[in-house]
Parts: sequence; C-alpha cells; structure tokens
Amino acid sequence: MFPFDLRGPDFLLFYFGLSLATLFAGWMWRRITELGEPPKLNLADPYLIAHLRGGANETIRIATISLVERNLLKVKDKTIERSPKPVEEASLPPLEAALLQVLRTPTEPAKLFDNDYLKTSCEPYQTTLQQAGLLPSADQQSSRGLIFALAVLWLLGIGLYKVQIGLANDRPVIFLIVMMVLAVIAIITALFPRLTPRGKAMLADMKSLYGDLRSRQSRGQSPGLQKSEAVLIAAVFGIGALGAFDYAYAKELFPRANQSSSGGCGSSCGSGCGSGCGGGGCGGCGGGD
Amino acid sequence: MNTAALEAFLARLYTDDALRERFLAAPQAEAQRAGLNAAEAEALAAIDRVGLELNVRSLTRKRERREKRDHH
Amino acid sequence: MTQADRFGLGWRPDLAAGIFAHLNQIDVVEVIADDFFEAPKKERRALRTLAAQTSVVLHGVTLGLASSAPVPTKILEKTARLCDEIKPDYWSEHLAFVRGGGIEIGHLSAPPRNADTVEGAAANLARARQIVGSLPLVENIATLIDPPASDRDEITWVNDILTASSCGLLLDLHNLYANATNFGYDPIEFIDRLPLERIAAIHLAGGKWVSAQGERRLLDDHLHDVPDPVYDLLTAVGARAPQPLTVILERDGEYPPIEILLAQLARARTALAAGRAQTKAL
Repeated sequence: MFPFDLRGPDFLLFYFGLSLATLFAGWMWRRITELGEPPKLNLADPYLIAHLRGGANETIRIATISLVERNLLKVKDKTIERSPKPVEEASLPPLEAALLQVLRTPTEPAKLFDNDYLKTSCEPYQTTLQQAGLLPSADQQSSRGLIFALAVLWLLGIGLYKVQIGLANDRPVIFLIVMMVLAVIAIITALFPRLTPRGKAMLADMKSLYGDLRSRQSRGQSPGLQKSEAVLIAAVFGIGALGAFDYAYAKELFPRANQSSSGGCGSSCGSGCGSGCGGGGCGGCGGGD
Repeated sequence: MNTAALEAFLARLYTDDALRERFLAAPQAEAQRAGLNAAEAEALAAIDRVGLELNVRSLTRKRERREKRDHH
Repeated sequence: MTQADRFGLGWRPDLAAGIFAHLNQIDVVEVIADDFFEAPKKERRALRTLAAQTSVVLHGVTLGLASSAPVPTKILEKTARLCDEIKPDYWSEHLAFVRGGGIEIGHLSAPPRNADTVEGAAANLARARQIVGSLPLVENIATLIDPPASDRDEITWVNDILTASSCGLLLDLHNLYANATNFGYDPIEFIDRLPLERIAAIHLAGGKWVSAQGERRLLDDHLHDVPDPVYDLLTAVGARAPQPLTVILERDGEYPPIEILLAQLARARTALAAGRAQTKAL
C-alpha cells in the first residue's frame, strides 16, 4: 500500500517508524565517520580534559580551582581575586595568565563565564581536541549539517506532503505536525552532540580508569590527594567529585557545577577497583596480618 | 611421588581448617587417609609448620580483604 | 641506566590521578590481567585508552602454571583475548600453583619443587604460547612456607624451568629477598646462578615481619615501601645484566601520596644506574 494512502493513525505510525529509521541512519553515520581508536592525549592537562567534558565554562572553573589551590587566587566573601603571591605569568598556561589578569579586580565566579578574553584563552584546548577527533572539526560540523539538511528535507518533505493531503480532505493534521517537529528536534540531538563518539568514549574511559572514587573515599582508602591530582579528578568528574575529598569551598564557588557533574564514576566502577595483584600481594603471600 | 595428589592435598590443607587441625595432630595418618602413599605422607609429615601457620594466616587475611572489597 | 631501561608502576585505580598527573616520570604501567578478564566491554576499551597513553604490560595472577596439572584453557583464552585487545609489550605470570584437586587456594603458592612441576610448568608454558601467541615472562614468587616434597632448592628449580622453556624471567627482588631471609640463603648467589641474559623485567615491593611459634618471617605484602636491601639487589642485577630492563614498583594498598611512590621509582633508577656504572668501570 502506498504510504500516503494510509489513514491518519496508520500514517502516524508509519511516520514514527520512518523518523526512527532516519534517526538511526544519522546516528550510525556519525558513529562510522567520527569514531576511532583512542588518541594519545596529554592526560596530565586538567584543562584539556575539562574542556572535553564541559567546554570553556568547565575549563574556566577547573583553572580557577587550580589557581586557588596554588594560592594564586583567593576567595573572599563571594568573590575571587588575585592573591598577592608573586608569579611569573609568562610561565603559566594562557588561560591561567588570563584569569590572573581578569581577577585583579574581585569578581563573582559566575561572571567569569561571560568574559570573552577567558573564552578566547580556552580556544587552544578546543583546537587540540578537534585535532584529536574528540570534538567535531569544522569539516565534520559541515558534514553533520549536510546530513541534517538531507534528513530534514526527507522527513519534512514526506510529512508536509501528507499534511497537504490531510488539509485537502479536511482531516486533522496537528498530530502529524507535532511529530514532525519532534522528529527534527530528535535529529538535531542525534547529529549535533558536542562530543564526537570518539570524544564520548574517551571521557567515559577516563572515568572508568579512575574507578569508584566515592566508594574508596568512604572506605578511607584514598591517599591524601595532592593538589595536581585533585584538579585532575575535578577535570574528569566535575567539581562535585571534590566534595568527597574535603574541598567544600569549590562547591560554594561554583554551585551550579555541582548540579551538573557526576561526582564520581557512579556505575562504571571497574572490576579493577582496588584489587591490586589478585586481591593483595602478587609475590605470593600478600595480604598479611 | 604423585605431585598432582600432593598439590591437591596442599590446596585442601591451606583452605580447610578442620583438615589442617587433624593433619597437625596426625600428619601421616591424615595424608594417607587422603589417598597419598607412604612416601608422600612422610614428606608431608616433615612440613614446615611455622610456614604453614603463617601461610594460612596470610591467606585468610587476603580472603577477608577480598570479601570486604567485593562487598563494597 | 641504559637508555632502554624503563621504570613504572603497577596500575591501580586508586593511583590513576597520580599516575596521569606524572606520566612524564613513568615509562610503563603494569595492569593485572585478571582484573579485566570478566570486565564489560567498556572497561576493556578504557584499558585500550590507557594503552594509547603509555606503555602497558599485563601481569596475570590466577594461571598457576608451575603445577604438575594443566592450567585452565579458559584463563589462557581470556589472556589471549586481552593481549589481542591491548597489545601489551609483554605479559607475565608466576611460577606458582593456585589450585589443586578442584580447590582454589586463593593466592600464589609454592608447589613442590620437583621434576613433575618443572615438566608441568614447561607443558603449561608451551600451551600458553600456543593459545596466547607468546610466552609470558615468569616470576619467582615469595613463599612463607618451604614447599614440602621438594627435591631441589628454589634456584635449581627456577633454572630447570627456564631451561625447559625459553621464556624470560621477571625477577621479583623483594620475593627473592624475602625467601632468602626466611630460608637462609644468599640472594646474590641466587642472582649469580640465574641465566642473567633471560632477565627481562624486575619487580620491586615491600613487606613486613610476621611471626608464629616464636619464629619470624618476612611477608611480601605489597603494602610497604621498598626496603634498602632490595635496592642493593637491583644494583647487583644492573651490574650483571647489561640488557634493558623494565622495572615495576608494586603497591597494592596503604597507598602513600604519589610523590612517595615516585621517589621510590627515582631511587630505583639511581640504584640500577649505579649497577650499570659498576659494569662500565670494569
């Protein structure tokens, strides 16, 4: 039977199936073209990881925390400002130098995200991540746009033709129109995520490798965190994860970050969590007394 | 020597508290009851008892740590 | 230190942040293979990501290859699969038995040191090569108990296995130190009797004293810092084995700050370099 001859509810069902198939095709196309083996990345750079996880805003958050930890910034009332501690700005990453310049004036943390100078300072991270295939490159964005245009033309074309038939026959078309709008939104979501599949996998892998932080902290098994490690953990999991390690001031500085970050790896606690060498001592008689 | 049988007996000795208690009381008898021959039983009777105790203690601790970790 | 000597840490999630923050001081990480045998696909993918960032070697703990009995094929197949996925620089296992008569002991145990376990080890290693595609390095284990029904000493037994197979040796210096201390032999003599050219890797670890019935012995528990005598043994190996070595510091718990572990690794570099310098001076 010719689809356009289908009656209302049947055509809606058909259109739903068609939308799903189109969505799946778009998703598969992205996976095929944007997935790849994990790249070598400077995983010691918390700003790179933060940028992968949450873009410029997250990078600015993590850099701020890092500078506070190193006593180059200080928190006063509800603002942050540069501390008197001397530092050779030329030796700092551009984002850190930019933060120190911007924060010569005490500033509310939330206002940092509106600062164009700081956002520009994050662009090198964007570029690195694009080159590593973890964020879509300009070419990939163009390709996404092309596939989106084709998918929308295809679905809207079919939908609008049926709408025309429905209107001509004095049939209700509102449900079909709503479904068309939802289909377009779904395709946008499927085709334009911030990360490539490779980037999403990289982030998930880092969380997996770090294991179940909260559980270990509650068991008192985590060693005292060095500042560099705390910043890395915040970069991978979000500032909320630091709550498990007595970094309460970070939550107060950026309360909105805590609502969005996962704070620990949650379900992805690897089987390697704290197992050591087969459960303690691989030389023979580990575990001890 | 039937080394496979010896290894099997050692595995039980390290993990079975009741067997170990009987063995320490009468090593040759217990070894032979497990099917080992006289030479094998004699070799086991000369077992390093200090090492056995320490080994079992270490194994028990390791098992407890593993269970505690798996429980979490 | 020759240019090709490498120094690394055992990979533990607790140390992930510290390891990633200091990858410039770490040449290689050693992953416990068995931790990933049953891991879901995404965790094994995470391991591939780790392998993309630094050199990875795999270390097995449940094979029990130094036994008169055949090792489980399943474990070899899982090892093979993991090696295929991760492509480690090498994989290693222990000269130990871990099961007998269907009972899992739960840790590495010294088997009777006799012809049967030598033959068994050789057969198991041959099967391992067939299934995994490569031979493992084999590691000497620490033991608190002098294995009964043995007809040869440890060094003879280890050498017999190395002769019967063609695998390399992962020489665990704390295990050697512990066994030498507990059973009264000279660890340097042990090293001198080894086919030194077969040593490919070194383990360093720490332990503590335990006692029973009025006697104390050294337990290799991987929960303490590397003691001074073990660094001395590393120097001795460096003076005798000129080939490149991979030196891994093992720590399974009671983790100190990462700086402490890195300091021990730095001391290992110095100790091995001192040994190399002795060879050059001759």
